[in-house]
Amino acid sequence: MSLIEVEHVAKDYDVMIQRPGAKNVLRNIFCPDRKVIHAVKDISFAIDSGELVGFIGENGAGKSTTLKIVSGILFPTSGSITVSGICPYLEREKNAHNIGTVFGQRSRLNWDLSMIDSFELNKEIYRIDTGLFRKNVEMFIDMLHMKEFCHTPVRQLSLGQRMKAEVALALLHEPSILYLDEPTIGLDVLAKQQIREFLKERNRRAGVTTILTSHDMKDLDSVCRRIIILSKGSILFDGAIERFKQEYAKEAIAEFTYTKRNTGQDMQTDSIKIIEDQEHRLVVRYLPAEMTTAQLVGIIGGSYEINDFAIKAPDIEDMVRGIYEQEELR
Amino acid sequence: MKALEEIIWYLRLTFVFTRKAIKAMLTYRFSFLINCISQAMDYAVTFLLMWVMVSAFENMNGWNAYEVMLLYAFSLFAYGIAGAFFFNIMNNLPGQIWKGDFDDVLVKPVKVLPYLLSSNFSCNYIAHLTLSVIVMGICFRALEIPLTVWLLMKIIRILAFGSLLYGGFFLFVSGSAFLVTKIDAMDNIMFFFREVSFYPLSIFPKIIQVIATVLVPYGFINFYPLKELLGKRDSAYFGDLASWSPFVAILFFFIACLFFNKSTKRYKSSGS
Repeated sequence: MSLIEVEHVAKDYDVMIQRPGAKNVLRNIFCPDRKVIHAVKDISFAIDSGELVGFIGENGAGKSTTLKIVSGILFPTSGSITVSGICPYLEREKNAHNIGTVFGQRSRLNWDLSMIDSFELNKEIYRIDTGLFRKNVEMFIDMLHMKEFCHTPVRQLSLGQRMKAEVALALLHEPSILYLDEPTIGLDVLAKQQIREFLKERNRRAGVTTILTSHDMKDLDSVCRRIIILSKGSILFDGAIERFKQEYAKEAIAEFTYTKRNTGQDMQTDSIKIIEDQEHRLVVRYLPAEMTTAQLVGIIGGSYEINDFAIKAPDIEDMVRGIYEQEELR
Repeated sequence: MKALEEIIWYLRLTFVFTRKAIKAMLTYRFSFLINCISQAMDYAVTFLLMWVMVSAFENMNGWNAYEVMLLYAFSLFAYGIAGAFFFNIMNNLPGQIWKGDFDDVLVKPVKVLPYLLSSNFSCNYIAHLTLSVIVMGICFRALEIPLTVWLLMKIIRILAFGSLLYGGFFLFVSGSAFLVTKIDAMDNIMFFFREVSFYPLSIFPKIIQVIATVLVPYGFINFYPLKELLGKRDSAYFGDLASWSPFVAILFFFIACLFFNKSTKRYKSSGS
């Protein structure tokens, strides 16, 4: 049995729709129109202890909703969930001992107090043993380089400093599962790097099962071993990040610079797609499986006077964009 | 035994939270001080006006100026005690729900209502309590009622159940934040009846008297108990209901807790 089991879970939201115009005012008050939004539609997945899983998806794909259901904040409309053998929303309190959460857009720190004060409050709330608390605080401050700002009121911290404190706060009570919703949003490179390393280290040393959502593909590439791609409330892909790359990295991108374009000849074929063509710069997408680099250069060379070219393997971001585009067309 | 342990744990949590809240408040010392002074002045002026008004008319449906002020002082004290525990909840909860910050409470290994009580305790009600105790002292003295131990115990009992009733009102208003986005309408009702409780209930139209006894039992906070304590005979629609006070307070508070807990299940969070 897996640590986290999600079976056929769906979540609908009931939203009221305001009709525009003065004549609809009374109608809006007394019998507003309702619309059901299917935020998550029948998803199933299982996560084993010690896994590092990343959720990807466009805005509104249902990532946050999924995390909130699994962490016990929301009730699903249908389906069943077990997290370490219990149902997170029915046994919310028991489940809460076992999990740590960081929701990037909201703060769990008290802004008028220092980070250490918030840590001390959590020590009481989670009933953390004093010895363990001291050990963890010291270790986390050291690992996340927080010494210089640990006594400053949180409202005076930079976003990066605050987020490090949030992540540390979520792990103080040594939960076995950590949920992070966009933990690196808006952070600088160094802060991102430190948080990623910290998450990996905690997973390796303390065995914390980590589930995170992010729009930053580098987060997922460097932290996660498995990704789940959501789109419009359904799972599009669930598997190892390596497998994802193999499956979706079929297309490569080539960039040419040219001096002149030979007019009259149209070289557009099915296997080469022009993405950009301006100011002597041409970017195309092609399938390496179907043609060699020499063939590609030959075709392009027929229509352009090529100066230089570079082949770029697509990164995850390109692949995910490709998937979203396909979904949009459906 | 387990329940007692839980209560002690939450009391301890309240203490820890309050200590941190005081620490945070010290960064805004000036704001805290001004807040206390302005509130005390606000209520003191109301006391004064009331005294001027009632003494000009000599009495209000059989209640003299000191007796009316006593009504006010009892209501204010009970409000202060309840406010210290519940006001911040009522004040903060709608925003937390609207923004989705209530998530934070739900991911903690705590019971929602006891945790909210622990984390929202406020020291700002010292002004209310001090002022109402002073006024009570003045009134009992002027009415030539000797402060015996027996009377003191009676007063404490009235204030305790009054606070419980006020707590119930706070909970009803706070809980409704889960059901409607804006709670303005709800807290307007609460504060309207608070205003009513500052005067003898018997001076109001029958309909208000019935509502304030049956529907929103404000009458039990101060009017009925004080009517008995002072031995007043007036033309109130209902007779002597003082002995009902404890029963009504406990039941009302219990229903308010149930309502609040049921409402929390309606929480929908918000996107991020």
